[in-house]
Amino acid sequence: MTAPVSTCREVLANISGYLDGELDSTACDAIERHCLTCPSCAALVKGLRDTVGLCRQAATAPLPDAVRRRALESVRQLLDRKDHEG
Amino acid sequence: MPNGTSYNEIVPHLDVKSEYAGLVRAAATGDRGAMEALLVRAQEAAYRFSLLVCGHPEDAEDVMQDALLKTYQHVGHISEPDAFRTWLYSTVRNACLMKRRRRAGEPATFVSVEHGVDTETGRVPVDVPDTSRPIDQRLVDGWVDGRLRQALNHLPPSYRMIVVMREIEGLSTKEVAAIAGVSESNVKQRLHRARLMLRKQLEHR
Repeated sequence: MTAPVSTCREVLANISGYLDGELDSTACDAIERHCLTCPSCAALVKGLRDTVGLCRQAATAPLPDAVRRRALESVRQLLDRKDHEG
Repeated sequence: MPNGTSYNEIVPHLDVKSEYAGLVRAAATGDRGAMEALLVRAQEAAYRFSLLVCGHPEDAEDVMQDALLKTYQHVGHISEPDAFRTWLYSTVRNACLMKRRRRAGEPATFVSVEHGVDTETGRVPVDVPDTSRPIDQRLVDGWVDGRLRQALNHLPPSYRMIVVMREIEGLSTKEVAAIAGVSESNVKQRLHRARLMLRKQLEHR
């Protein structure tokens, strides 16, 4: 069990665990209560959440069509060559 | 505000690990469709890693080819399909490192033309389209959010690799630790610092 946090320093130390869902509900509640009365920590949490969200948007963006076509062509050429070689 | 696991429920990573493992198993039995899908995905992973971590678009083609051939040769010998992603990203990382060594002395990151070239303190704007840029550079400019790409380029390379593998490629802390050759706690520590650096960079853009 993670000890509840109540100071800005503790929020900073635990923020990644919070965003990654690694903290228990008591620790999460403590961070959220702290953020209700601390605008700078609330901004930090929001900023980091937006940052991670931007990264994960990139994860879902399909690669350019030209790259996908090139990859598929390379694969088919290789497999056809290997089939031909027996 | 999310609590506990709710954050990951908002922006989930797809379960790509089990998808890869399924393709590996099927490909190993001679399923051509599965082999084709696996090889395409391996090349796409190599492309993303090459561009986002190494920052040399001109290397992307070679790194993709390397991933293609090595994956094809490796598939029939895999005893643990669940460990395939760790093997793939280790292979891609090594290919990128080899490329970097060959170009020792050159900058490890590329500079986006849209933001000009840094001089002493300011920037030199570039107003004309730069058609001399490699095709992959132009492709990636339209693929990844420009602010994110620039922010990533400001991270130390070892931090950038952790962010790309964890946040974009969706690998677990354990997988990233194995690929980077560091402990899981070290991965978490670097990811934490990298997120703070990224946030700072993004706030200034």
